[in-house]
Amino acid sequence: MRWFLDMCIILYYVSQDNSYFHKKSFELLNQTQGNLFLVCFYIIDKDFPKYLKRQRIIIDEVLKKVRDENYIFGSSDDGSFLYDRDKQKAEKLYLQSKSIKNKITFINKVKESQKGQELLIGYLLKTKIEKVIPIGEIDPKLRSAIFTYLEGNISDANILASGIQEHKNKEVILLTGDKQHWTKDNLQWAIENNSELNNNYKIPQIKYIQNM
Amino acid sequence: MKKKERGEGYSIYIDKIKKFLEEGPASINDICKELEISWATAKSALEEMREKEDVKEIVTSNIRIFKLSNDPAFYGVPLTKKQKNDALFLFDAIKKEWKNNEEKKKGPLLATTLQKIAVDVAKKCECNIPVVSFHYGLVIPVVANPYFSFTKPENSQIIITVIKKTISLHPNKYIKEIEKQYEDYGLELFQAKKKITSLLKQCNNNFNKEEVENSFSRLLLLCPIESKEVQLFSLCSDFVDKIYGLLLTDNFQDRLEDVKEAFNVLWDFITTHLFFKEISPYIRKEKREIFEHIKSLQILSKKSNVEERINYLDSLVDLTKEIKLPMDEESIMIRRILTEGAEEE
Repeated sequence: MRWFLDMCIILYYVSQDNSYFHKKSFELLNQTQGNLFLVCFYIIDKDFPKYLKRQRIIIDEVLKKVRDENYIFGSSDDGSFLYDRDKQKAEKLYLQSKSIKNKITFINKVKESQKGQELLIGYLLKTKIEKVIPIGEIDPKLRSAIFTYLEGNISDANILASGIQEHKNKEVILLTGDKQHWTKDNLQWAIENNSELNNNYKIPQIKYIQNM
Repeated sequence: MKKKERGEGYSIYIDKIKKFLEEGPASINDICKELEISWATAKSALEEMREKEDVKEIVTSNIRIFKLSNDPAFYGVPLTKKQKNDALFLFDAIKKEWKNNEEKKKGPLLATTLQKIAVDVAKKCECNIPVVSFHYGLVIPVVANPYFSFTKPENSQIIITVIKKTISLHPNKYIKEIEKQYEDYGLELFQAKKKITSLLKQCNNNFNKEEVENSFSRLLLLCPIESKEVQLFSLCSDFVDKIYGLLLTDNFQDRLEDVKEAFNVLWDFITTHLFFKEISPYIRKEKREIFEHIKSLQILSKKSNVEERINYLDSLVDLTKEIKLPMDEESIMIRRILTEGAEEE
């Protein structure tokens, strides 16, 4: 089986947080017999660096707040890179810091967790995952068609286009936790409305980690 | 302006330029304005002075700045002649007092002790002698330079009285002098650095992961956060990330020498930043532009050194082994929060 992974599968794997998503991802990625795990270059070269940068900024913002409770999340130059959901994460982490006995212990734990996840991503990409579809080879027509149905999510458009192109090379299953964007309907609308794409590409099977 | 004849030189301007530069470094334009001479004359005079090693050029990307070769201010920051004069007088008075009253008991005055006494006296006298952070704590940012002459300031008697009261409190032992100052002025960041340095020295034999983590986290807790322009905090945080990377992958001890070197480079950057931040209020308005040039020259080069070291530390991490993260409740909760919304990424 060739599994084309969404970025979230890797994030679940490295979370080591005892969650159902982690357990499922961990089980799957450790079943190496008969399975091949694929990730597209767009995730590796574009999405991961951005994600890791935001994670580091979230931690820095939290540490600033831990030191000065009047600090406002997102008010530094770096903080402006954060999305609203990142600021919510920062708020939650800050609240968490209050339940930990001292600031040093909190910094140790938060740094160890964030850096640990970053290292695990590096480890996974180096040892368990094969990289496919260089960014320059993504079919712009396919990407553009998918983009129309994804509420302007260019990242998912690139990743899904990569997955569909890889499926054309050899059958893959798209694996994700995103039931909102990674849907058969979205892909059907995108491809079947365009005769050129319809002739060129087939839609791969999509599986959701929460249903496995 | 009358053109100089061949061989006549620019000696008539040289004394004036020297006098002007005693008040701190200046650009060619500043010298032109002050002496009311053309740009070409100023430039030629300065080049003649540079050949004789009377001046040095502080190289910046877009402005030529010159300072006296014997200007005793650290990094050539534009302190006034009076600030430098008073600092040099202070050093000299301490040396004399030490020679007369302390040397027999405590031995020759160490350079560190001289600086530490000078800081105490300058703080107690509340005179306009700058006191700022540097690599090993608070200093008077002036080199006790025998080639820069000085005179007695108006408050010389007060200074001498305070020296007499202060000098006996100093043990003249390198480590004790440093510890005393950190303690006296509550220099927690410097104490945190000292702890790290001493831990790194011991790590070859006796390695305590938790102690190393604690010491670096403490540094981060004390690192200045308001320095937007140099991203000091995020660089320190990034550095600490790399330390955690080496610790988590069990590469820390093998790479101890690299960590020590990188930490020294980071500390140089932190203290240089503190130096410029703290000396800034002592710089007069007309010298601010020159000051900013000197500052950015130093800060940018040191920042790029730190970035280079951080990247190098990152490259030392071994990613071939799967690491296990701590499974205590709090760490799990932190990672759960960090992973929230993964499907939206």
